[in-house]
Amino acid sequence: MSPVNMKPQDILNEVRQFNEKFAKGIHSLMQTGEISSGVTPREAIYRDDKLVLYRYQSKKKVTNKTPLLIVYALVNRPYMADLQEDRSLIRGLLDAGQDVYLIDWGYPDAGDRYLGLDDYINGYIDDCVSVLRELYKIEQINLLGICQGGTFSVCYSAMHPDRVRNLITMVTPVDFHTRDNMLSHWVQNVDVDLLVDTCGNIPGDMLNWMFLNLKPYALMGQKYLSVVDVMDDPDALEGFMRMEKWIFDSPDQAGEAYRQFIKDFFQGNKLMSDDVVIGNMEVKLKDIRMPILNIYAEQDHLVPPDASRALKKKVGSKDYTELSFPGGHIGIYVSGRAQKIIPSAIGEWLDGR
Amino acid sequence: MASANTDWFGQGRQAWEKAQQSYWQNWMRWMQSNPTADSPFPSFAANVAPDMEQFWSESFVDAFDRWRQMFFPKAPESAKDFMERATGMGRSYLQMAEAFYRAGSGKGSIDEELINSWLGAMQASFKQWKQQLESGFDVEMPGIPGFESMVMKFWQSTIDTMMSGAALQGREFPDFSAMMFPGAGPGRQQLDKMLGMPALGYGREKQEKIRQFSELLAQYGDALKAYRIAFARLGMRSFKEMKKRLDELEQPIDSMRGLYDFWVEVNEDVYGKFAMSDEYQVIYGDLVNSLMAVRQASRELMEDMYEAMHLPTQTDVDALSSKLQQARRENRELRKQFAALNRRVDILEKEADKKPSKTTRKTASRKVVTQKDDLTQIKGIGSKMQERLYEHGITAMEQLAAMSRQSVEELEKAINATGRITREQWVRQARSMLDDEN
Repeated sequence: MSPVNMKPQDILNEVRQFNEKFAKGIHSLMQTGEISSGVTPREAIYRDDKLVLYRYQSKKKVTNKTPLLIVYALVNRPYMADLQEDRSLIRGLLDAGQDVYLIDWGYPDAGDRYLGLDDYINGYIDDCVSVLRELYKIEQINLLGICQGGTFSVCYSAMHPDRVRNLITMVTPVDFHTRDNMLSHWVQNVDVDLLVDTCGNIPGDMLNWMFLNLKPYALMGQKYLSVVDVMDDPDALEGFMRMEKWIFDSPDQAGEAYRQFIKDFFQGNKLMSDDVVIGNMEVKLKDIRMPILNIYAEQDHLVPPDASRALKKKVGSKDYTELSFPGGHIGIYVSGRAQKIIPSAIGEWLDGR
Repeated sequence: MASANTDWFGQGRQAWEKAQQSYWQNWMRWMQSNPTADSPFPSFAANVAPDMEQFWSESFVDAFDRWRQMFFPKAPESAKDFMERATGMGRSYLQMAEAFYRAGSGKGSIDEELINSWLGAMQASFKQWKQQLESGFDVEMPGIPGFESMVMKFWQSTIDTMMSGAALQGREFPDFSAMMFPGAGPGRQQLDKMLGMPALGYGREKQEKIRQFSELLAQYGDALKAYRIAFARLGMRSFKEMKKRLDELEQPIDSMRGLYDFWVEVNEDVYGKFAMSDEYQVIYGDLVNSLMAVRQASRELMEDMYEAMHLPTQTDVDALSSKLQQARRENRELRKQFAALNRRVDILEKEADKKPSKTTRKTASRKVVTQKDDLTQIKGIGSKMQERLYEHGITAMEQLAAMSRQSVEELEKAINATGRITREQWVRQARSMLDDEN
């Protein structure tokens, strides 16, 4: 049997169809205006430097009296959690009766080069937590960390356990040395001091290229052919363009925070050995005793499931729940399946605690 | 035979031009009519005579390029980046299709023999690339069908990002991109030229710096060479793996897109294994580190020049940013302390409000200033230390609880107890005491 069996005429027809689809797609493309993102109405309730703390407005009644603070990663932008009407983790959480707040880190510039993890975690995050504690006259809030924001939330909960009622981590790396962690594998031989001393802030484009190079053929090649198949559907095209906008919307990373994150977490894997020190505080995972919901994605190519699941054995919590999502690192917020599963699961879990 | 071909070409060209004309006219009319999502647009096929198939088939990419050129300026700003990526990839795909179409037209079908010879040719071109690299020649990566040299472009774009602020392109310094292989080609000449520059004003010291810089460039050249050679081997492995997997197929691939997707899968798998290898970890790190060393050295050279011109350097800007961050931290600390004091005032005022007479309330408010907590509750603080703290204005538990690392260090110095506050965790103790109270 010949493994390939095509007639030249077949190729010709395919190319024609491809061109026609592309032409139709371009027609749709000409009609797209500014790509909107971040759809749920919100108000800024606190600002500090480039940080903005938002409160999201719910159409439904807020049933959980404890505010839920979402801490997003420093890489990429948080509107991934509120991408469009029918694909929004935040909308889902509001519908599940939660009172949702989110930290937007903004885009660091040269003046932010010396922002360190202490400034981010014991400074900015703690300030936002304080704002909420004051506003609600409560001692503890609920914390939801996403990806690197999850790692920050884990550190925060270990250092300030008295201020966190429940901790939720989504696609959060804890063990950075699992065998399948490609990003971690790449940075082990990189002289991070030289990199940060030379570049100052780390360009977002550089990180973005790194992420795309985890699967270059699919993410930089195949994807753009596949989109041609749906380009004649304006809604599908707009959805694709919105994702594109998000993928390439990469803020630069504050140099010092990047330095410590790569050295202590990626290279030293110190969270696992309880050797992380942030500011003048030690991070011991055993100090985390509040209830934990740890959500990971089974096909996550950025944060492998084992990197997240490592949390279980290290924390002091007796109330620990895992939620495994059949999808990828991004699908966990934006896929249709995620809309059905994730926010309601978080809501139910929180309401019971 | 030759004349028949020429005739065919001549007739074809005339017919093509006619079809082309009406095709583009339709497009132009359509574009000028300020099209909306609902307006019909000209069909590609309807405007090309059926007998023109042969001609079109031999210029997949040309036709596609015309579209690119035509639409690109008209695309909305927000869509331009996407269009560039999508059309770029579409073009690569069509190139691959065109190659197969051309090869298949000769024998009537695309079959095992053709695929094998295609893979063999790719294998040979990568082998040749590897040999050229090993012999010290600066040769770009051969395009991988369907992707061109995407993987290498990644590195080029990283360089562009990294070097964009380094101002290396100019009279003073050689064109960086031409210096990827300092040992050969134009890079070498530029380097020689640079080294031969009269050492105005700086004399030997500058010459020495430039010599060091050129050494770093050579190291970077070596790292890039190793990286490219590894990618040449990777390419060869991909072709071999493709052949193996094609042989294992149970159902033949019957479409171009099917072949493309299969090709993606094979490349991704082979690349994935390579990217997780120890070898990749080393060559990747070496490449990044050597590039950073070059950039660092180039910055030093630039800074000498800037200083001579009394212009601010990156080092100056860094020093300012560092001070700015320090000021921010102090600012945050003061805000915290201020808020803690405010809270305390509120509590005391409320307590005072409970009492009947205004005079008493006034007294209570005044007391805020002189309120002194029992700081000896903190493990490590005795009565003497408490007195010392009072003398330095630390009278309330809240003040201790709100202290940053920096103010802790300052206080330690002031009370002559270096390291003690941190070691005995006064701040943490104060916080948990306040939390217990609340």
